[in-house]
Amino acid sequence: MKNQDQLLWSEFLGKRLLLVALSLGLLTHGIIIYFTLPQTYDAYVHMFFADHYSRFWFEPWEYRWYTGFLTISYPPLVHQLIALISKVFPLKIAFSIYSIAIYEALILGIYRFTKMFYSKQTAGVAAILAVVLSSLVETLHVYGQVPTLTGLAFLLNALPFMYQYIKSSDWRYLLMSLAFISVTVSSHHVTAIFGMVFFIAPAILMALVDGNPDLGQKKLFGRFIPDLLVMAWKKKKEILFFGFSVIILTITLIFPYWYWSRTDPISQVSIPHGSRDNFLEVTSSGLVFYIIPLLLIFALLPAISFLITRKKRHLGWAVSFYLCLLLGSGGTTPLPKMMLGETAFNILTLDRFGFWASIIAIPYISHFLLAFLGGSVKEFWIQKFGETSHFLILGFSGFSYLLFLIYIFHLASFRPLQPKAVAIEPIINFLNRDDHMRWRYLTLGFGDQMAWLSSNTLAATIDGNYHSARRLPEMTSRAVERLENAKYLMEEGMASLDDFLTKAEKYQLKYVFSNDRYYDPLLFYSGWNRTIRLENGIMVWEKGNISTIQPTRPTELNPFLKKAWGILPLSTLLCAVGLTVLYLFHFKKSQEELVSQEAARFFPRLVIYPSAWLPFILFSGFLMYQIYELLLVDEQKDPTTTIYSHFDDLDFQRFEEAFQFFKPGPEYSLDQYLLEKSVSDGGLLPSFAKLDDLQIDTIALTATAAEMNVKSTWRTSLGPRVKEELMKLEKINQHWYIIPPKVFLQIPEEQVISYTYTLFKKMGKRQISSFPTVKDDRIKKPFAGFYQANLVLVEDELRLTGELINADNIPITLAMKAVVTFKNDSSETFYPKRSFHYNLAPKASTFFEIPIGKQADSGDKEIIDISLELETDISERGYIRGGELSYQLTSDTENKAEFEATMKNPFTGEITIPGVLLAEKDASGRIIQVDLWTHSQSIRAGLEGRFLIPFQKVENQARILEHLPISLMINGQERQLLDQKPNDGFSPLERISLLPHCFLAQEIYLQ
Amino acid sequence: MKWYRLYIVTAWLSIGCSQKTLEKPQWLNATSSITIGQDSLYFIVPEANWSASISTPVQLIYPDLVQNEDELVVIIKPIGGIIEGMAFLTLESEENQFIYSFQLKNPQKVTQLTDLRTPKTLSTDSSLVQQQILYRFDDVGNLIPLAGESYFEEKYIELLPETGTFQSETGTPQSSFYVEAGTVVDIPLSYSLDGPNHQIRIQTGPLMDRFDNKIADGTHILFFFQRGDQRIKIESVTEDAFATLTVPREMVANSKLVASIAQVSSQTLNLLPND
Repeated sequence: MKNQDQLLWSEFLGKRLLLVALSLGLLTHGIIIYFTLPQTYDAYVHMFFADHYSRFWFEPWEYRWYTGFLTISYPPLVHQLIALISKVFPLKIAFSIYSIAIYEALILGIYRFTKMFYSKQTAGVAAILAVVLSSLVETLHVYGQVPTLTGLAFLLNALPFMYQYIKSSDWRYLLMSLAFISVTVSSHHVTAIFGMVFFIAPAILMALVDGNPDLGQKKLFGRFIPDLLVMAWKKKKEILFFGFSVIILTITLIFPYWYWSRTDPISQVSIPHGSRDNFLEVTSSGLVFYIIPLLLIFALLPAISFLITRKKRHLGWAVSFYLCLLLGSGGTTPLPKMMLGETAFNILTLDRFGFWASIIAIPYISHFLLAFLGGSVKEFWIQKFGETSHFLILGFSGFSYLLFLIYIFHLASFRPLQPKAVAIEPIINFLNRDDHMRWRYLTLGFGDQMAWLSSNTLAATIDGNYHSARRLPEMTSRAVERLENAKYLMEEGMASLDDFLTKAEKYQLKYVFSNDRYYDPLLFYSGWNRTIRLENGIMVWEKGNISTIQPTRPTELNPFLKKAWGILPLSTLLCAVGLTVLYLFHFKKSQEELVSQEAARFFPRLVIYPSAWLPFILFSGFLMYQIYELLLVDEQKDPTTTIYSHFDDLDFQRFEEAFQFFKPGPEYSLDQYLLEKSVSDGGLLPSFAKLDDLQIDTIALTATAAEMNVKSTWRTSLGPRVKEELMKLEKINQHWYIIPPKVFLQIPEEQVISYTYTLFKKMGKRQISSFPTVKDDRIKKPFAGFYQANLVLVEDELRLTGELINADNIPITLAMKAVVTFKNDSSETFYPKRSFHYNLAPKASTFFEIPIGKQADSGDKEIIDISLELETDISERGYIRGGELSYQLTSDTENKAEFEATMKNPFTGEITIPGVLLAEKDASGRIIQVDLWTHSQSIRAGLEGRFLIPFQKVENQARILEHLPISLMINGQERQLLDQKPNDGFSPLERISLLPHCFLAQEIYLQ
Repeated sequence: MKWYRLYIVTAWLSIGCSQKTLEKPQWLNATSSITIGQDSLYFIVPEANWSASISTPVQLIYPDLVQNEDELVVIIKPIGGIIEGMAFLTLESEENQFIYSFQLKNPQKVTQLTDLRTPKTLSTDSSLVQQQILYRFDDVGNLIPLAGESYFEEKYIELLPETGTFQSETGTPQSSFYVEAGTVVDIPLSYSLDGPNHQIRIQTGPLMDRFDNKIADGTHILFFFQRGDQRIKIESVTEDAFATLTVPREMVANSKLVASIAQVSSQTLNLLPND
C-alpha cells in the first residue's frame, strides 16, 4: 500500500513540477527572449531564412546573398513555421513566439525523456532543470539556435516512443516515434544525423536491457555483451525496420538538401571557430563553449558518473556522455581530431557535442538533486551535519547558480557579442529610392544585424551569413566568415575584403554602408567615396562606374522537388500533431505508461561530499573570478601589467581609464591629457587601428623606477603598423605609474587660417520622375587621356603601369581594368589596387599600376592581347588629394632610395592620413613601378609633417615588354596615347616622381 | 434514312432566308480626315438597329449614335487624346458590317518643340560644330509637322568660341547646351614679396584659352619649385582664371619655379636669386 501511495504521490508531484516548469519557462524565457535575441549570433540569420519563405515559399533560390544561393542548403521547417507566424506578427515577434513555443516543447521532451530513466518525480525535477540549464539558456539567448532546440525537442519526444516500440513491438509506438523523428529531420539535419549515434543507439540498448531483466544482472565483461547481442538479434526486425524507416525518412523528407550536398558540395577553406581552440590557451573560447554550458555538469560529475555507471541499462548513455564531453573539448587535446578525422574536425563546430553531453546528463543530475532535496542524500546529510547546514548549502548552491545564470543572460554586457543596434530604416529608404537596388551593397561593422537588414529589403548584398552555401572564390579560398567583420579575421579577412572592394565591378558592388571607421582608409584608397551620412550615423560609400546587376540564371531545381520542399516538412509537423492527439485520446490510456522504476536509494560518501560542495565552490568561484577580473585585479602591480592595462584602455578608447595609469600630479590633469591626445593623435594610428600585439622589454628596473621599451603592433585596414616608444615608470604606494611623456607639439604661427575650397555639385537627374533619365538629362562622359601605358616584367611578375590625365574641366572618378586574353581564348580581368588616384581634379594626372601576376611564356596561358579600359564619370567627392609636398632624395642606391619629405597642410581640417604615390621611371621616362606610401600620424591644419619615405627600386629587374600591343579604351571607345607629354617642371626629369595621395577624414564634400 | 437530309436542307434554307442583307449606308459628309470632338459622321441607313466602333492601330473607340428612322449620326466624343493615323469605322446591324476609312486626328492642342543638340557640351578646343535636331509633338505623343511640313529638321551649327550656358530654341532648362573653355595657352607667372610676413606671393594668370575665355574654375595647377636637390610640389586650383600661392620666403628663396597645367608649362621663374 505504502509503495502504491508513494507512486501516486510521485506521479502527482511529477506532473505538478512539469506544469511549474512550463509556466516558469514561459515567464522567464518568454519575457527575456525579445531583449536578448538582437545580441545573439544566429537569430537574425534564421529570421532571414524565414523572411525568404515568407516571400518565396516554393522558390528556393535566394538572390539577396552571395549573388544567390539555394535555401535547400538548410532544412526548412523551422524557417517555414516562423514565416507562417510572421504573416500575423512582425518577424522579430514571430521568432520570439516560435522560440518560446519550442522551448516549452523541449521542457516537455526532457520530462518524457527522463521518465525512461527514473520516476515521474525525477522527471518533474528534470523539467524544472530544463528551464535553468546553462547550456539551454546559452543556446537560446546567446547563440539563438532555434533549429538545434527544435530538433532536440522533437528527438527527445520521439525517444520514449521508440523505446516502447523496441520493448513491446507495438507498431503504434513506431508510428509515433517516426512522426517525431520526421519533424527532427525537417528541422535540423545535424541533430538528425548525430542524434542517431548519441541518443537513439543508447535508447535502443536501454530498451533491450529493460526488455530482459536478467540481462542487467550479467557481468559486463562476462555474459552481458553476448546476451545483449542475442537480445538484439531477437529484436532485429524492430531495430532494422526502425533504422531503415528513419533512413528513408531522412532521405526523402529533405531530399533536395541531400541532392544539393551531392551536386554542389562544400569546398572551401576551413573557417576558424572558437569551439576548436585549445581552451587552456584561448580561455575566452573555453568560457563560451565549455565552461558556461558544462559547469553544472562538471560540478555534479561525481554524481553523474555514479548513476550512469550504476546499471548496465545506462551503458549506452555512458558511452555517449563521455564521448560528447571529450569531443566538446575541441582542440584542448588531440583526441577529438584523431577521432573525427581532420576534415570533419575542421568542418564541424564542436560545441554541439558538449551541448548534447549536458542533455544526456539531465536525468542523472535531476535524480541526484531530488535525492539531495528530499531523498536519501538529504537524510544522510541531516544526520551527519544537521538540517541547518543542509539548508545553507542548498541555498548557497542554488543562489550562486542563479547568479551564474544571470551572468549568462548579461554576457553580452560584459563581452559585447555584437556592435550597438543599428536603426535600419534610413538604409532601407536609401536602397528604395533612385534605383539604388539595381546594385549590390555591403555592410561593415554591423555584426549579425546585416541579416536583419537583408530581411527587410529586397536589395542584394555580396556578403552573407550562411557560410555553407557560399561559392564565391574570393570567400571560399580564405578562412573568413563574413566580409562584414573582416577586421577580426586578421590578414585573411582583410585580404578577402580588399578583393571585393577592388573588384567591385565583378559583382556589381556599388554601395558600402560603413558602421566602423576602421575600414575608412581601405575604402578610400580602393577608390570608394563618401556619399552621404544617413540619419542613423551610417556612412554610405559609393564607387563610380559600376554596372547594374545583370540577370543571372538561378540554379534550377526540378519543380517537383520545389513543391516537395514546400509541402513535406510542414506536413511532418501536422502529422505529428495529429497523431499525438489520436495517441492521447485513443491510445495512451489503454497502455502501460512509460515510467522507469529505477531509483538510487544509496549514494556513497565519495559522491555525496563532492557533489554537495562542488556546485557552490565552482559557481561562486567562477563569479568571484569574474568580479576579480572586472574590479579587483591589480592592474598596476608591476611595470609590464601597468603598460598592458594602459594600452588595453587606449585600444578600446577608454581614455579616462587610460589616464589613471599616469603619475598623479597637479601638472598633468585629465584635461591636459585629453587635450594633448586630441592634437597629437589622429591618423592611421591609433584612430583607425586595433591593437594586435604588445612587446615589452625591460631596459632598466629598480625597486621604484623602470624604463621599458614598448613595441606595439597595430592592425589597420592598410596593413600592420609598428610603433616603438620608450616608457618610464615610477612606483608610488605599491602601484606603478607611467610618467607622462613630453609631447612636443608644433604650434602654428597663425591664429586663424583660411582656405578657399572649390567645390562642385553634380545636379544629377533634373527631371523629378521615377522614369529612366531622358536624353536631355544625360550628362556627358568626362574626357580623359593616357600619357603612357607600359607592360612591365619585374622578375617573373607582370604589371601594367602608366600615367593618365583628366582632360576635362570637371572633377572625375575613374574605373580602370585590364582585360587580358590568353592563347586558349579565355580572358581574365585585373584591377588596380591602391597605386592609383581614383578621383582627379580638372587637368590633374595620376600614375597607375595594375598587377597582373605571374603569366606563362607559352602554352594555353600565354598572353596574346591586353586591353586597358577606363571608364569616367563626374565626381564631386574626394579629389583634394594632399598638401604642399616638399621632398629631397637623401639616399639612392641600386635597389633602394629614400626621401626626406615635408608635407604642409594648408586646409582647414587635418590631413588624416598623409600619403604619397611614387612612380619609378626608366631612363626614357617610362613608368616601371608605382607604389603608395602612407604615414601613420595625421597633420593638423596649418602645420606640417616630416617623414622619411623608403622606396624599393626595381630598375635593375624591370623590363618593358613591347611585343605585346596594349589597346586603350576610354568609355567604350578606342583611343591612342596622347601626343603631348606632361611636363613635370623639373630639370633634370625625375626618375622617381612623387604625387600627394592623402586621406582627409573631414567630410568637406558633404557639407 | 434519307429523310434527315430533307430536314437539313429545310433548316439551311430557313436560316438563309432569315438573314436580311442590308444596303450599304450612304455617308453623306464623307471626308478623308476626321477630328475627334469636332466632326460627326452623317449616314443614310436602312431602318434597323445599328452599332458602331472605330478601330485605330492602338485603341478601339465606341462613338455615340443618334438614329432617327433612316438618318444616323455618329458622334465621336472628345477623349483624352489619341495616337493619330488611319482609322476604320465599322457600322454593324443584323450581321451586316460596313467599313469606312479615314484619318483620325486630335483637335489642335498645345505642342512642344524639342531641340536636341549633340554634343551638349563643347570645348573651345574642338571644332565647335554642333548637330541640331528639331521636332515637335503634342501632349499625346504625336509628331506634328514643323513649319515647312517636314517632321524633322537637322542642322549643323557652328558655335561661337565663347564659353557659357546657352539656351536652345525651346528655351527649357534641360535643353540648354554648354561651351566650356579649352586648354590654357599660356601661363603667365609672377611673384611679389609680402615683406612684413616674410612670405612670397606667387600668382599665375590670367589663364585663358586660345579664344580668350577664362579656363574653368577648379582647374588643377602644379607649382614646381627646385632648389638644388630639394624639390617642392604644390598643387592648387584656379579661380576666376587665376591661381595664387603664398609660401614662406625661406622655403623657396633662390628656387626655380615652373607652373604647369596638364602639358602646358610656364616659363621658369627665378625666385629671389640673390637671397
